[in-house]
Amino acid sequence: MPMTNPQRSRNDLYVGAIFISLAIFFGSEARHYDLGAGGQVGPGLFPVVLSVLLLGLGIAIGLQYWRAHSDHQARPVPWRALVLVCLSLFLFGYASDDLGLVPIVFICTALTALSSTQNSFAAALIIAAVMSLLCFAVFKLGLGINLPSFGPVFGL
Amino acid sequence: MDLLSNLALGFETAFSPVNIIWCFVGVLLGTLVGVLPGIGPTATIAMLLPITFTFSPVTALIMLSGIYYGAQYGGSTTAILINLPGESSSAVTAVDGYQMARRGRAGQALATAALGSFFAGSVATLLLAMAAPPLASVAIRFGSPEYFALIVVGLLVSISLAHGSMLKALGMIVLGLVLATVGQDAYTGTPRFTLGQLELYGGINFVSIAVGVFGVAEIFRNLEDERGREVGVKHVTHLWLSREEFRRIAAPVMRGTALGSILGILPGGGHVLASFASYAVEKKSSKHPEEFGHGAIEGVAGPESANNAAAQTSFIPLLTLGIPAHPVMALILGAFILQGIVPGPKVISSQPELFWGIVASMWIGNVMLVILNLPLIGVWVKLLSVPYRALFPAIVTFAAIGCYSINNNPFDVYAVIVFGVLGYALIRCGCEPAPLLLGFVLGGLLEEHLRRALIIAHGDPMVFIQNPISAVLLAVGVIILVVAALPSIRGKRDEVFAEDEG
Repeated sequence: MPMTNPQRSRNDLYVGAIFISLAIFFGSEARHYDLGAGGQVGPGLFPVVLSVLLLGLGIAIGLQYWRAHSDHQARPVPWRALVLVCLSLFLFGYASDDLGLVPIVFICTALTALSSTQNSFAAALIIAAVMSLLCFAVFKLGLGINLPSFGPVFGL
Repeated sequence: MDLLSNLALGFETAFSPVNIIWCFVGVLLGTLVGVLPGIGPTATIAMLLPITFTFSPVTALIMLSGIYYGAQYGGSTTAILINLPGESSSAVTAVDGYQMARRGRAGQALATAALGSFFAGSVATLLLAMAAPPLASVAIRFGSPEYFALIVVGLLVSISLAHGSMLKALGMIVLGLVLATVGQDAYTGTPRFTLGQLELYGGINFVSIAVGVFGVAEIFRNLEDERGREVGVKHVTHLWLSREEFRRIAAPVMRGTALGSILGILPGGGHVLASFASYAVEKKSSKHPEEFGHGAIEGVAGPESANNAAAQTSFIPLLTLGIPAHPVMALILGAFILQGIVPGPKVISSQPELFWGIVASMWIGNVMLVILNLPLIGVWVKLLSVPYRALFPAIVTFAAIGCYSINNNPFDVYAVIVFGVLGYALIRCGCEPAPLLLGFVLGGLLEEHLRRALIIAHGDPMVFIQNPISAVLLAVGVIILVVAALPSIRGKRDEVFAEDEG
């Protein structure tokens, strides 16, 4: 067994793991579909073949980890941005119908802006206000989007 | 002459007031996103796709194409002024363009880029107009085995052009193909991978995937390391070239145009390869190779012409075969489909005003771009001082609104979260997002032609080898794969792309 080197990048391992787990998920689902017989190709054949391919590639990529291969230094993962951007996208999907365009844009933009460490709370609010106005002008006045400007929550 | 009467029809279509206005909006937006680092034409077109529903097909496609080639112009401005490629293909321009700017010759660099791009764009558009109809008349006789083989070759070529690990690129393509199978099977109606979600019966929305892996994932990537960027040049003067400089750029522009026109047809980011290749050619053929890297005007002229020529000719596979050469073309293919048009060899003959209108609009667009990029350069310089921290919240919000308004369905927005996070994880670990999207878009076509070919052949897989055209194409695919895996070629590839890493 080779020594585990802390400097060595684990990227290949991670990619291999992602591919393998997706291959297992899709492959095990696709087993239940008809593979087809005779001249007919069933709906299951193409996904099963692809899942096997993906599994093979995932294993091959994962194995590369054990070949000597140094990578450049990794930069820190922006956890704060990951959480805040996903949260604001989720809120947009969940609440835009009830809140309406202007409030949801304000909330989502402000939340997203806070994921940069360089934005202060006040800066985030200013960016959000500007974006609310801009989106109202572009999407509501300009393009006539279906979303109401202010949703039913406001009783308008 | 046929070509002339066709072009006359095209210009008639493209010169209608509606089309002129949206062509202008397209190239303006294209320049804008090209100038701003952190948002590219792929994410922009994906976000704007929903609002083009209401347009007529030709107007929608004129605008979306304008965004794409407009971004090639804008990208060079950023590369020259702040040494940051606004678009991946302008990475090479940054090398000598930024050096020129530092020596007070930003005006000449920008003029070279704009004029070279204009020349290349016009010539390549003419090439597109001449090459597409004959190609389409060949392609119209293609059956399912040929199409299947052609798509396989296209996917394999895109791997060999991608930089980074080949295995990972292959994996991303296969992942894209698997994702394309989600939804109701077209032949039997069997729901596949729907997990009981009604929304997934129609398949995963590809705007969600595109915005996720090209928009949101890119933002995470940029927020890893927040540095302020600095605009080195506040005022640009001397926006024209001397006679001597014209003489120096003439040959590089010609060579770049030729190189770019050819490489642009190849799938998988031919325009990026074209600019790298052109830089290498200019450096080799120059009498003063030592100037390269220190502000050689040829190092701006060649690559800029090459990537613009490639941007135009990359429309050829889409308009003649219905096969997109890279993610932006995949989105434009999506626009065709949303308009109820199946792109392919029949479009040229059945909808001539659509095809020739798009071609003609490219000339008009290129003229507009020169005007936008030379006299109005000051506006773009100002724009570069908008900090990224104010920009990315806008991108996320536009993305959310764009995806939501396709079907007024929250599900499409949730899908952006999934693909943003998955895309970020994969990109961070050295995978490229373009092959995934290419696989996703071509997956449906690939499966359809595979199954149709097998049905016609009564389930005999030998049909792909017995059919001469598909046999040759598949053999080419195998050769590409083997050659790309050879160590000596791999070394060369790394060399070509080495300067991109900086």
